[in-house]
Amino acid sequence: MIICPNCSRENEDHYKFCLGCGTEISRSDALPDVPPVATALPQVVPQIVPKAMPEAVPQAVPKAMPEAMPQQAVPEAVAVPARATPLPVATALPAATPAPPPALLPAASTPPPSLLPASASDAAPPTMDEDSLAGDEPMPDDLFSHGSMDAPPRSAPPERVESDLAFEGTVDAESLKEAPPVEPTRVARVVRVDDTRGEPPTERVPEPFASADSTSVSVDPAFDELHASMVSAVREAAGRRCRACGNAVPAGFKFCGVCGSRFELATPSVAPSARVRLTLVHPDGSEGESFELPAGECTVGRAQGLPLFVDDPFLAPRHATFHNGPGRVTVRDEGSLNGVFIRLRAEVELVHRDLFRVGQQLLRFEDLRHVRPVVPAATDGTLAFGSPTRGAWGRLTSLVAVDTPAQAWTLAGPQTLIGRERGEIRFPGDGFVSGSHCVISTRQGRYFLADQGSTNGTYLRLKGEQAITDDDLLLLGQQLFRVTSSPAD
Amino acid sequence: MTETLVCGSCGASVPSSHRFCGQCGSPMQGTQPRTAMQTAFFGAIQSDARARLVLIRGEGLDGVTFQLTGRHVAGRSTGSILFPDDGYLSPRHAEFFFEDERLYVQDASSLNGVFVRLRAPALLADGEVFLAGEELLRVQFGGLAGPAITGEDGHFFASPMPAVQSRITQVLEGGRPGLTVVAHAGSLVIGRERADLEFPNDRFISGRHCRVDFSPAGATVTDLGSRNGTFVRIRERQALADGDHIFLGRQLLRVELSA
Repeated sequence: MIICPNCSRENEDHYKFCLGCGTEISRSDALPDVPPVATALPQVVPQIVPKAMPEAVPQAVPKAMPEAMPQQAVPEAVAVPARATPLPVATALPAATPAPPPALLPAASTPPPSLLPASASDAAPPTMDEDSLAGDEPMPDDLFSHGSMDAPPRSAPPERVESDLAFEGTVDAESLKEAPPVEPTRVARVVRVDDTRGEPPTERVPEPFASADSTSVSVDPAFDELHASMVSAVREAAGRRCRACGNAVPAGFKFCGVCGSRFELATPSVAPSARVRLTLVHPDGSEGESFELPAGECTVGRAQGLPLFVDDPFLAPRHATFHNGPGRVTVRDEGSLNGVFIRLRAEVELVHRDLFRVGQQLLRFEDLRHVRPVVPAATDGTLAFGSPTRGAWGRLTSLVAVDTPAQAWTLAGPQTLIGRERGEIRFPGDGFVSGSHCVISTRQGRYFLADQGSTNGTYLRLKGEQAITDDDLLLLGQQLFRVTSSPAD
Repeated sequence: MTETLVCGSCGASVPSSHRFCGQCGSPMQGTQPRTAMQTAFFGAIQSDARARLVLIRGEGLDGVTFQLTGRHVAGRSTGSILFPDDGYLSPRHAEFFFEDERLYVQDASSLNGVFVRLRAPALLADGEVFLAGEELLRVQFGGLAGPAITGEDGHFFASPMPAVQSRITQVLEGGRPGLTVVAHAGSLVIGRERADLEFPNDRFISGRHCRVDFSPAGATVTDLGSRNGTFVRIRERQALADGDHIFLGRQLLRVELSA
């Protein structure tokens, strides 16, 4: 389950975009626990590998690959397990090492004959092993680049990752035995390997090693259990902590059980010396060009600043200034006509004359106490007559020109819902407004605006200088930009 | 006639056994019985009266009656028709007078104006106001173009401009604007429910109270048979007929002309 950092909706693990709001779901958010698990375990491996390999390698390799040069194969074979050391699976080996090799050897030697005729498939089993090895490397990015690019035939890459983490190596072992490698990706890889000539023997080696792993894992279920609990403990510690009280929030919970605060995935402000990019978001939600913000200040405007800013008549020549400073990235409006709008991610406080966008509407919030009378004040103490306010505290206007409201609504009661079909304020003709879009509420004499998980979002016009963080969406002129930040190398 | 007192503070009718006014809470001590008061009043000027103004309170309870004989000023602090506690009345608010055997009312440049209940549809100009139930509403025809944008600022990104600019704006206590509804279809219905301008909490408005039709000539206000009527602010002076109703500030008066 992935909690959308934008709207907190729960999404299936393999979703790339949030069902609730369309926000792209960051994979690193989804699996914050992968690195700690792998790094916690590697020490055991070096002891096992040398023992397992010397026996397995010389026997398996010559049989499987008669043409291959044994001299090359052995040293390379030693190198392969070394590369595999971070494998969590390998930790299960100690108990199993003495027994498996003999049992495995036949298994290891059976496939090659059938495979040999097809020259391309010679190296196929090794690549599969390499796959499983690479899949176990503790980089979440790796996992997902594998899932999305290198291994499309796999039905559910993330699940496979999960099973690796849980040490259920048997799955891989069985796929080795029962399903000889015929997947297109592997063929592609074999071609690549063939091009390098002389590598095949090397690639052959890991197979018995991997099989040994899987056998040994099934031998010791208690060990599995222990590690499974470690994994879940690490998972809970990483990321899912209440921002208000710091207690761990179990996966799937939307609120902290200790203090009741709404749980949000950490959206850390841009890290020191971060690389910050602005990516154009097209109206259909796809992403377009992307440019990195230079360090320091960068003023953008109509056909100015970054190449992203085209000749948009809704941009001022000098529209806004980004400041990419240490530990903090900010944006400020340079007094432009249309301003800079930011998509709401949480409830914000509203003050008199704040502007926000809902669908195609430009709305202005007005604190009724500060609304200017349309009747000139009398000098003789006469009160201006009018409709009873009946507890109204605010007014919302739809601006059709600068400072020119057309439609207007009074705001009364604890909260007012704005939507296309539901709510006290409706825009039935605006297809960009969600059924229920956002809510204006009042508590203790203050006013607040919150998006209701709308499809297109609620955008608030910035005042002064505002910090921006990863995954913020900014509206400048007619274009929408996504802010992405990543730590500098 | 049962013994009824008239509250000296707000004019409400109070049963003689009550010690406090049920409307405003003022003590009734020392208040003259209404019968006695009316008798005295009539006795003094009855012979000359050509018209009367009857104060209507709350749910149609008649209160004080003012005899109109010549020229009378109504206001908060000036004139013979005084309502010192009504802050919405200008000190000198309106004048009642006879001319050519007809009774007229004239706005004495008051802040809030004089409203007369519609007997027939009335044509309003841009910026004029009318009353439906407790709601004060203003008609507007244009003015949505906004200030001109100069220099290099470019276009303003705003809500879609409506095809029609005619609209009605509620004016709240204190003169501040409230609800505004644009007449996309050319006319707007005002009422408590199933209306373009809905005021579900207004006890004095009818379900469908009145309709405003916009045309190039102006806005025509038509009462839809409402219980309490639709009132339009008079421009300068207006002739009054028997049974007309007038709002001065919060005071609702009924005109009674002697035959």
